[in-house]
Amino acid sequence: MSSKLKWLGLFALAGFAMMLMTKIPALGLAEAEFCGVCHAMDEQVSTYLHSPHANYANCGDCHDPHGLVTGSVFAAYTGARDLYRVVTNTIPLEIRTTGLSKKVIQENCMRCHGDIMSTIGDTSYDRGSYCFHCHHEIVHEK
Amino acid sequence: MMGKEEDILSSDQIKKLLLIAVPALVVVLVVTVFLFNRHNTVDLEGPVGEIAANETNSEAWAHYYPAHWDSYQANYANVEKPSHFDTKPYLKTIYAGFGFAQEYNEPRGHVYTIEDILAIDPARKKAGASCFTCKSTQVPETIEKYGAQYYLMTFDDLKDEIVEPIGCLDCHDPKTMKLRLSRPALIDALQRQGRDLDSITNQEMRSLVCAQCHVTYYFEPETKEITFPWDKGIKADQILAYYDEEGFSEWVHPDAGTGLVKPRHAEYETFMNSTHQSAGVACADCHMPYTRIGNKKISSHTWQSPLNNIEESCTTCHRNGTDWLTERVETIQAQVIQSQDLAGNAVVDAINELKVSSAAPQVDQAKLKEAQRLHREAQWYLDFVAVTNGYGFHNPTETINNLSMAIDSAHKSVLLAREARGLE
Repeated sequence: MSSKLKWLGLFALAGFAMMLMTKIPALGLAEAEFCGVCHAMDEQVSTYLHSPHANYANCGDCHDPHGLVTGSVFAAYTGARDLYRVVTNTIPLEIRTTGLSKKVIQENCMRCHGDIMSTIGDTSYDRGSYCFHCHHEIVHEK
Repeated sequence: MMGKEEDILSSDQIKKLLLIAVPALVVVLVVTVFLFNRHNTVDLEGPVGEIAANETNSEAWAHYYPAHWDSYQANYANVEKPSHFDTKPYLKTIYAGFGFAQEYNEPRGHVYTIEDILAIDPARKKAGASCFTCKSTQVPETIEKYGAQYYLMTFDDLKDEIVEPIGCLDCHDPKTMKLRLSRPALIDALQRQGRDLDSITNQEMRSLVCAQCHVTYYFEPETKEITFPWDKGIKADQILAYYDEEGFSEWVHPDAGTGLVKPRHAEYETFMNSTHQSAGVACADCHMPYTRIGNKKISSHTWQSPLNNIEESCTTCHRNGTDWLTERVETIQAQVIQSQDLAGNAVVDAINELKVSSAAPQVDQAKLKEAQRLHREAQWYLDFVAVTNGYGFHNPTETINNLSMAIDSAHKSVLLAREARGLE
């Protein structure tokens, strides 16, 4: 094995380990205090802190997949993307959920509220509505 | 020591070790991820137990779906059968010569369909067995049993055979509980539109199961088969154009001499393209709102005005408070009722003028005929609104537009009828 490959492997391993770190609760990387460091998130953070969900869930509980690997990879990707947007000053005028993020949020709605929804099932099934289509005001009031 | 170990593990042995270790590691990783994720998946309850494929008795389903059954039973609380003539006296005049003029009450809903149809005035049962089509879970199997002959049978032929009211089987597949269409008329109409029935989404089905019955229809003159007049489109003007092209009239008004067609409860047609429907809302979203029963939520099976449970029906999306919402709905409905009454009286005026002109000795037949055509149009647009539930709330702008058409055509008919007998 050439030393270049060795280093590359080590680098990939270290990178993956760092991604996994986003899931360590003690680091608080999914908490509003951390996400709110960027002022672009001020509105989201303040509306969240005023919502009942603030007592039970942090940003990552709703916005990241719950799985260790899927969650950390997703958080690393969205985090890196957001950092890039801030550094290059290309923050969208209106911050909205997009594509995959919607599915992630829906999964997380069902993860906690699946019990009460067990009879109805997943409302997004077969191109149906996401929970937050109707319950859009619940956390961020928009 | 180190050197010795290197000697023991030759490069071949390392390769062998890696060949075992790497797949083993991969397997361990996959299993770990699988186990980690497994407790996160939401266990959704499937249908419990077996219900016979053609179980028409809804009580047999009740055992498996007790909460749904309770909400269905709540429909029995609706006991009033107010007459349309009390609130819309002009309807009696416009239906003259037709069964509807004898009696036209609002029915009490899904659970009372059989009781209500048996109690109806005999003048209304001339269409025969077809009248049962939207009254019972037994209809699909009855149509299968008798084939095309079903539509040609008399009302009395089937009144002992059909006993179950509207229930579970009309909209649900007993095996999967998925929504399904059971009435041939809707299936045929959708197929004529070129729709692929298998590609219809669940959200659209939450309206289409209602559209099996909450639509206007006519009895095809020869086969008496119930047919949806949708081939030119589903809106009032398009349906009238369809009837005009077919040269179809259901009866001739004895005073006005006009050949007329009668719309029936066109809730689905009216709702389509409305603001709510365009936003992706289905009938069931407002009329069967998700309701908390103990530690579960179900789609309510108590079919009623959403104003009766505004908290579940409206405030899920509209956070403006129940008072504001109620006032909005009542304002829209009051405005529609006002316009509807204007249109109703205008159509009655047209009928009265046509009656005088028809009897006049030297009447201009061409002008009289055109005045009758305008009457047919005016009455169609008025009736389309008047017999559709909701006083226009299903689609306020379109409803007011239909009533404007009715008023305009009625006024033109009055003028022309007077002109036909020599009055300016």
